[in-house]
Amino acid sequence: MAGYQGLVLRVDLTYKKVYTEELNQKWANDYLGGKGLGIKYLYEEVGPGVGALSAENKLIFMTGPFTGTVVPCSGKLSIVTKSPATGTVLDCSIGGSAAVEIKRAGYDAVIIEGKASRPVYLLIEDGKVEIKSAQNYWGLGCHETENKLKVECGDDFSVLSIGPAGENLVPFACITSDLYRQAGRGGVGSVMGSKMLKALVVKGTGGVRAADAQKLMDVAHDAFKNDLLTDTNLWAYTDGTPMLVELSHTTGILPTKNFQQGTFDGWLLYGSCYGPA
Amino acid sequence: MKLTYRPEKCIGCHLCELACSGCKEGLFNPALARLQITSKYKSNNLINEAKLCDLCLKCVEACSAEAIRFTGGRLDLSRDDCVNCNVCIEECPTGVLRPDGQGFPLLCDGCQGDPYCAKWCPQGALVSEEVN
Repeated sequence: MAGYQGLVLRVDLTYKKVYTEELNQKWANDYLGGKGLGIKYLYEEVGPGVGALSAENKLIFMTGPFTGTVVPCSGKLSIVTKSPATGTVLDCSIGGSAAVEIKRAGYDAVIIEGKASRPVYLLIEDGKVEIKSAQNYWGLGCHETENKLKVECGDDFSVLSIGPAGENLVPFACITSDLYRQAGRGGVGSVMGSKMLKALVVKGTGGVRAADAQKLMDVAHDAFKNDLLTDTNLWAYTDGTPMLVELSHTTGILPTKNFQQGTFDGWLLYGSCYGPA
Repeated sequence: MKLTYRPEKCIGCHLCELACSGCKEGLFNPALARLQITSKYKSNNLINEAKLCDLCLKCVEACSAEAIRFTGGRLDLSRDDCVNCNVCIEECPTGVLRPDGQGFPLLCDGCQGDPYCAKWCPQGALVSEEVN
C-alpha cells in the first residue's frame, strides 16, 4: 500500500537482536496512521498483566502513511506503550524531524522490546542498525546528550533521547528530540529508561511514495491555502498560544506547582487577550 | 525567470524540496529535489541556507556530450545524449547539481517559468523573478 514503507524494525534489547518484518497490511488498512496502528500493535502484543516498566512492555515508535510527504501536520511521531503513570495504554506524540527520518530510513515503525543490561543507544542509518553502548551518555541531560551524539554520529541525524528523569524512572519523564520537542505525556521517557535505552539516533536517505503524488500534492496545496494559511488560523503562528492560558485556568487544567493545582491566581500576568474572539 | 531565496523569511520547513521531488520524480525525497535547503542551529538561532540554480550555465559549457542545453530561457537535459560522466555536477559552482541515483544530474528547468517550489513556499522565501 503506497504511503507505507511496508517494514517494521524490531529491536530486542535483552538478546541484542535487530530484525525487520513486514508491516501487517490488514492492520494498517483497519487502523490508519500512527496512533491507531501503534495501539493495535500494543494491544495484540502486550498483555493486560504486563507492568509498564517491565521488560515485557514494548515501546512503539509509529509513523503514519502521510509522514514524509507534503501533507500538513503529518510529521508527528506517535509513541505508544503502557504508561507507568496510569498503568494503561498510552499514546504520546512528538514533533520535530524524528518521524520523517524513521520513515525515510525505510520503516513505518520501530518497536523496542526487552531490556538491556547496560545503557545503550540505537543507531539507525537506513538499513544499517546498531545497538551501541551509551555508557558515556548515561546521566547527561537531553540537550547535552543530543549535542554529543550529533558530534559522534553526524549533524544530520535526528535524536530522541531521555535525561536523568527517564533514567531514574520518574513516572512522567519525557522523551526529547530536536532540543525543544518533547513527548511529554504519560511517562514515555521512563519506559525508555527502564529498557536502559538512552537514545534513538536515526537518519534516512530514502523517499516516500504516494499512489498518485500529483493528486496528493494538489489536495495538500489546497488544504494549505484554504485551511491552514488563513487569517483565522495564523494567529497562533504570529502571536503564539498564550490565549490557552486563560482557557486552561478557567477549565482547571493549568499545571501549577507540578500539577498539585489546576488553576493559578496570577494567570493574567502571563496570559494573553489575543487570539480568536 | 530566476529563483531568488530570502533566508530571513525561510523557516526551514523543506516543503519546497518535498514539492520539487514529488512533482519531478513522483516520490517525496528531499535528496531528489532540484534545490537544497540546509537548516542548522547556531547557538539559539536556526540558520537556513539554500542552494539554488542561478543559471550560470557552467554545466552547459562543461557538458562534452551537449546533453545539457539552454533554450528558451531554461535548462534542458537530453537523457538520450547524457553519458553519465557527472562532469556537470563537478563543475557546478553552487553545488546544487546532484546525481539522481541513476547517473543523471537533477537539473532545474524552472518549471517552465512557474517554479513549483516557489508556489509551495508558505513564507514567500522563494520567489520567482524576471531577469533583465
